[in-house]
Amino acid sequence: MKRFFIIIVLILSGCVFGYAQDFKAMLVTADALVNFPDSDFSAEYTIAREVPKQGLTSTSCVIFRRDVEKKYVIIVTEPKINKGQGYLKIGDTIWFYDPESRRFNTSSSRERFQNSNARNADFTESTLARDYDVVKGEKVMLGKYDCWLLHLKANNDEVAYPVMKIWISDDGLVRKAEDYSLSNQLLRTTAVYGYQKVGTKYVPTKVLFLDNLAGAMVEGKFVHEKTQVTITKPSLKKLPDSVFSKTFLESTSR
Amino acid sequence: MRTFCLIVVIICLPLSLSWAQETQQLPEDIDALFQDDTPPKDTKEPGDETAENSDLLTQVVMQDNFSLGADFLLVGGYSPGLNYLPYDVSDPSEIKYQDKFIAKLNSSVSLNVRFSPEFRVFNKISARLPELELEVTELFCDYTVADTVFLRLGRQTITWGISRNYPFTNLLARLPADATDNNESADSFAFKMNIPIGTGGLEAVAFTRSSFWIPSDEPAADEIGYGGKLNLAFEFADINIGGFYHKDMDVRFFYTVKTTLFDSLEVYTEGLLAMEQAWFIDPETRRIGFSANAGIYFDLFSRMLEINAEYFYNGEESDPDQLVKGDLFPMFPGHNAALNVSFALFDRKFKLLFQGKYNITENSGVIIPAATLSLFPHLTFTLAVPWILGPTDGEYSENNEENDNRRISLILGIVLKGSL
Repeated sequence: MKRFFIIIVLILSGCVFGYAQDFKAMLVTADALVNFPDSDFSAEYTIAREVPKQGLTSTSCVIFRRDVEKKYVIIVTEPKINKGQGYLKIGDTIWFYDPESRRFNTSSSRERFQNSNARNADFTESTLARDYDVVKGEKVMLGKYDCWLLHLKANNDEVAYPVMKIWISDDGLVRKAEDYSLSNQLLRTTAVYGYQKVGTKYVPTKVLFLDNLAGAMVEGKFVHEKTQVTITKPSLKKLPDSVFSKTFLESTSR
Repeated sequence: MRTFCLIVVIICLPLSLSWAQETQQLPEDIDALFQDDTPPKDTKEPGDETAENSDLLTQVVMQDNFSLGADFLLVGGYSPGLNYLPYDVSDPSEIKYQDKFIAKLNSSVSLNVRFSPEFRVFNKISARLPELELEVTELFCDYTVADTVFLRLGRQTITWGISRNYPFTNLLARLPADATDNNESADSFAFKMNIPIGTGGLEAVAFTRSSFWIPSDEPAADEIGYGGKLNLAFEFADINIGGFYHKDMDVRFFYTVKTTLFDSLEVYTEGLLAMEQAWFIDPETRRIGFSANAGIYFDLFSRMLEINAEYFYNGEESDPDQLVKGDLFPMFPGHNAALNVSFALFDRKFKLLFQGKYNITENSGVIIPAATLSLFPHLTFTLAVPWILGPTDGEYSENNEENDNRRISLILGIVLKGSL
């Protein structure tokens, strides 16, 4: 009886250990599916921002990414008033080029992109496995998707959100995320509701960011500020090295 | 004559940007988005990229292969003011009231033609009232060699340095010590070559101004200045070192260092070594000066509050009037301090602003508290109170012609601005 009890305990602890391993592996897979360590990546992004009572505004831009060197370049193409503005990110530092003043400013990747609910960090490679530890996981349904809901806690203070919940569907893709403060205040909800496949990799087609703190009462109901990102024309073609330079930003602007 | 007087510049303090408004609505119920189990759309395999997708880079570069642009700025207003402050004078009868009407209009059209990803031409022509003068403000061509060497030739604006309060390292905008109105409005011409090195790169320029040579003549070889800068863009700091030589000006070398601390505090410092050209012949008797600054910039509450503070030591004692093209006041020798604060409310439609510059050495300064209101597209209302501090023979008081030498004034203005 005693031996049987020990075997049961060992099996159960093995299961628990196995689950913990699986959760981390899930994050690794989720990152790997949307990152491009072996190629460059470029795509066109359309960012629509809706502020209740103020209407919808939109920005279009083109993104060039080189994940292996932790770099990206964003060139704003619409609206015309912001056309030619550019972002160059190397590591955690971002250079912002303003064609009107013809000057570069540096900023943090935690900052919001073009005053939207998307952050500069949302355009870079996914680093869930590196930056977060899984506190617990549970099986849930998200609409028609069977998902693992993982509760994450940041293991460093470099990330924008110290606590996260993410929904990963059976195919390993992140479908939804909730970003929290340290005091567990829900700050932002993200829905990735559509992917496109590029070779063996996946690129979201539409991402919706909902600001859980900002919004306004409309007809007796609280409506949040939202930003929707639509991604088109993804490509894995190799880019010239000069694209990831300040000179390129200056030369593509007016 | 400077392009715009102090009043116009004050009225045009940060104007809000407006985005194109659309009517479509974004979904509010996040979970409802996942009711359809849509499999990922297969876009393409690697190596099978269509011309459309693989040429995104060319598309960005060629996005404006032919385009027309236009800018319009109308500034109108009224400004009463006093030539003395009541506590400045023993005899109040010396105080004179002076008011003025403000009307400025500036319009420009531009033509951008890109013949290929490597070659484009840009031309911008501006007209302004009340001068009614047409001016080619920009006319240059770009040529790129093998995605590695970027050339620009023609009339163009090149900006070096960081500080907007004291642009002493913006060497190509520095004017000769005996600068005249002719120098200040002079056209600039440059050949610029950029070679990316890592994230930063090398920039070499050959530069001159129309006032540096005899009108209606072509510049001689020795009337062209030469310089360059090397940008080292590291993750921890953005560093520039460079220099510029022109026979009519001191030889100047500069450095700039900028970094971001704690993810939000921008810190910068710049330094400048200026040497009289004769110094190279006789260092004992010729002057040499060193200037440096240090400044911070940070914003809080999603850029609702923006603060910039800077200290500047100007060691170029030889040039009492150190002019920078486009700047309202010269840079004064000695110790200087500047503070800029912007507080924006109601989605940046209403702003409270403060600009202040103070020359500690001369006990002279200027402060400009202001407010702007942008209720309607393209239209901004401005209220500002420029106030000269310190003695009447102080530097800021004596270089205040742009505001008709008024010690204090009230400016009520309207700005109508559009860009296409």
